[in-house]
Amino acid sequence: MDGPSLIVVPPTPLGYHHPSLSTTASSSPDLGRLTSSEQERGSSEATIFTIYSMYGDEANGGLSLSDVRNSKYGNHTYQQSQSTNSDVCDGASSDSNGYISSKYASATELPARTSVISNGSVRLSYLDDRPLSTYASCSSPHNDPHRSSDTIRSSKFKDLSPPPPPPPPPPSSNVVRASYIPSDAEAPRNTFLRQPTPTHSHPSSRHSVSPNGNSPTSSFRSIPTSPRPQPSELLSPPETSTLPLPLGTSGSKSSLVPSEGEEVDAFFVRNTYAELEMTGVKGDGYVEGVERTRARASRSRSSISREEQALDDGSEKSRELSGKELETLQSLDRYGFFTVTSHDRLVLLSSLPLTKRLSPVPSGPIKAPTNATSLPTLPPTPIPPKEASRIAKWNRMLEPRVRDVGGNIQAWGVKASKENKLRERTFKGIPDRWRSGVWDLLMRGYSRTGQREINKLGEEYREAMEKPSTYDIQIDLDVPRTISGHIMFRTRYGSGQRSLFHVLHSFSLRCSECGYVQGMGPIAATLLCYFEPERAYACLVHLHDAYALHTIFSPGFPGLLEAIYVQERITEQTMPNVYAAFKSHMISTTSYATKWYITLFANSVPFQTQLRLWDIFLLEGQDVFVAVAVAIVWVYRDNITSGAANFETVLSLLSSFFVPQDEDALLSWIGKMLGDKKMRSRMGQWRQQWKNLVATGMDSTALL
Amino acid sequence: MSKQFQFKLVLLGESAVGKSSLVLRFVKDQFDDYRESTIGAAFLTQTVTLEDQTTVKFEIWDTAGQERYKSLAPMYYRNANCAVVVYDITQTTSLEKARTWIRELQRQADPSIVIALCGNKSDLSARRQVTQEEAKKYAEEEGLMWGETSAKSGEGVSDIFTAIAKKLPQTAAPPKAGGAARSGAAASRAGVDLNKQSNALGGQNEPCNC
Repeated sequence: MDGPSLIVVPPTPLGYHHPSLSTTASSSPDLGRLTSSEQERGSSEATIFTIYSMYGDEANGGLSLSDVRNSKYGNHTYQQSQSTNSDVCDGASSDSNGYISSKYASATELPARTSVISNGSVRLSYLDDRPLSTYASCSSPHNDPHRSSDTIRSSKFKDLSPPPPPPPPPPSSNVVRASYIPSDAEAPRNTFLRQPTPTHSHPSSRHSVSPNGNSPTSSFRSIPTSPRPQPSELLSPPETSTLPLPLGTSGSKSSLVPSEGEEVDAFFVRNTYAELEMTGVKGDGYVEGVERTRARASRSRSSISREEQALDDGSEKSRELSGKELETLQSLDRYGFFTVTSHDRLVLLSSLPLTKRLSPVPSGPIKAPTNATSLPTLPPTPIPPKEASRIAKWNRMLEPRVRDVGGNIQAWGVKASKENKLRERTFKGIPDRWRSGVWDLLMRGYSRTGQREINKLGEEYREAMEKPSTYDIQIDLDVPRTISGHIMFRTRYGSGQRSLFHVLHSFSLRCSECGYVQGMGPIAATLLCYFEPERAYACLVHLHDAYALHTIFSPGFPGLLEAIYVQERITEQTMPNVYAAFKSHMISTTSYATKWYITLFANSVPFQTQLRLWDIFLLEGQDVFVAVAVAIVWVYRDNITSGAANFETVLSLLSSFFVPQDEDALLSWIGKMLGDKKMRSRMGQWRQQWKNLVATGMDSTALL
Repeated sequence: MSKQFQFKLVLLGESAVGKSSLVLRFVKDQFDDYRESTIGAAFLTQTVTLEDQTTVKFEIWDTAGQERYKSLAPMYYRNANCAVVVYDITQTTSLEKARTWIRELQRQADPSIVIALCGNKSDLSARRQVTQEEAKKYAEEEGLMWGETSAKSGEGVSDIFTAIAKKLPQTAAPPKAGGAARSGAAASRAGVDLNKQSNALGGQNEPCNC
């Protein structure tokens, strides 16, 4: 195996823990206010910080705040590619995304080769951007193979540095982030970093860890269980060795065995994904890729040859990025989305109505407009202005709860003294760098799941990959069109799509009633942005079991109808005129709200808004989405009750893609509604009422 | 004074045959290679102006293709004036599914409903599995309109909707029957009543006075 040149090499002494850390950290003006628990986070950061100091002066206190600022933005291109990795792809890294990891690796190396302060600081802020899964990619030995070719890749980033586009106003967070880096670094993971790189890591091992994604033990533990005899030698491309494979795969190309009774086409689909896990595809993240499974019945010689050409031949890690690819990287937003023109109706979700809390209101003006302000394009998603200070607060609020035998943090908890802050802060938005850790925390709490169960779910996930699912063909049809504007999911059969397929495949076998339902895709994909596939699967299970998604997805969508019933009762009580308008225009709630509840607002609001809604959903449960639905109706109530409104105007409006004018206003409104104990208890009663209606067969006339 | 009509149109068909793409092409003249799968149903409108200056406004219900969502379909086709049942010319199974939908419409939908069978993805004719003859023959037997389209290239898309627009005014139910049958609110919980009584255009065959 090629020597991982970068991360493992650094002169990080084995005993490198606090001493050198504090040296490094002392350059940070913020060190003084760090608590030890904050320092628990991430030895890899410390390690990499040290690497920088080897190559230049950037790490040694020469890093002034303005440097960070200027460099980060003076090197815009690079910053963009960084954001690909950091802000976006907590999941990507943890998702065994070969492409992202490798980018990451090369990014890591950049300062080393160029000794450019700017890059160093960019790198730093990047690292610090991500509390948990950062480590998965920067420290995971599985990624090391990528680094073998980093020397070549790094040159690409040199190309990136020169053109400094007009620097956007630097969010203050950068400043703070940079100063936090050293602080975060303790070193529990150094051991991990020093682990010898396995010649071949079993793919599933990458998934067998918590969202931290950095459990060396679990990773290594699963290697011996691999039925494969070190196939990495056979499959020379370094990437292959990091790709997750279903258990039972052999090193050969054909990796699965058809199960009894499995349809030929379904097996073809399942096997294709398994095979591609071994080889990878070319241009993952940049190119559209070549369709293989839909065209299965009519593959010609030329299409097969195209398919072969699209396989990664091992050159992926070493080739130069084209200008177009660089452009692509530059165009990504902080969550990894391309700037694509949306074909949806984009309407502004105005903040003004949200200044008034939910309470019975009279009808709006009869001459109110029937439509809302429409937007030509999706506005950019800036980093929330208070992100930096919030990160600091979350740093102080959380502490490690579960560690694996290697000392790596597998789960976080809220300090007892800070528990009363959790709700308020979650409503204000979990800082993105904390999201995977906190989502994990919230889901563990809400579903009362312990580490052992999560590990078990991991096994279940891997075992399910061996089994056929009658939903495989349908899942395969949906995978390429699930948030395909995201770099992780863009390339056909790229690592993101493969993970998505496998998570949905395994999940479709979990509950025989639910199976796979369209709508699970965007949910799983969102989870994959923050968790490794294995953990994303476990999260889906939490959502299904504890957050009542079972009732949403099971045949007939009983949970959907229940939520709609509650939504209608609230509407009827607080906005009687709106309720009457729905009635007179004969607009059933299912006709516009179905996708809200089934996709958990994945395709109805901007990604960042969706994340904010999920933050509170994971904290509070299913009432959240009823509240969001009510909020939308609340905002547009005057449009709905307008004298000029009709079936078409109302339905068009409510079928739109909603862009909140101010997310905080929306969240705060929802917070107040859900914080109202009377309201919550009534919501509970209505849910019960609905169940009674269903039980007595009276439900068919109970909804609009 | 030109005539104006308003009709409800529902798209049905197997998952991923291109229902949403057809609508996107028809309504916005755009195409996405990978359009998100439709959850529940999507509502859009588009107006077609015929040669004689008659305008036909379609209220389009684009439905989800997955079997699980089939239970929601009746509320979208129940009062539809026309249905476009879509199959993918590169997938034989999708024509089978289309036949199932057509049988269901013939049994359950308004008897005067105009049904068009639409073979989509004609740009992929190199991978064709469903011949034009086969589909056409079936359509003739069942008395359906038929055409092939490519939402990707745009070929045939406006033709099929225009053909429906031309046919509808002659065949749609008279004002009191069929199409406008549902009166009163919320006849069932599934009741997306596609006929808005409150709308002046309730009478399908009557030219609007505006």
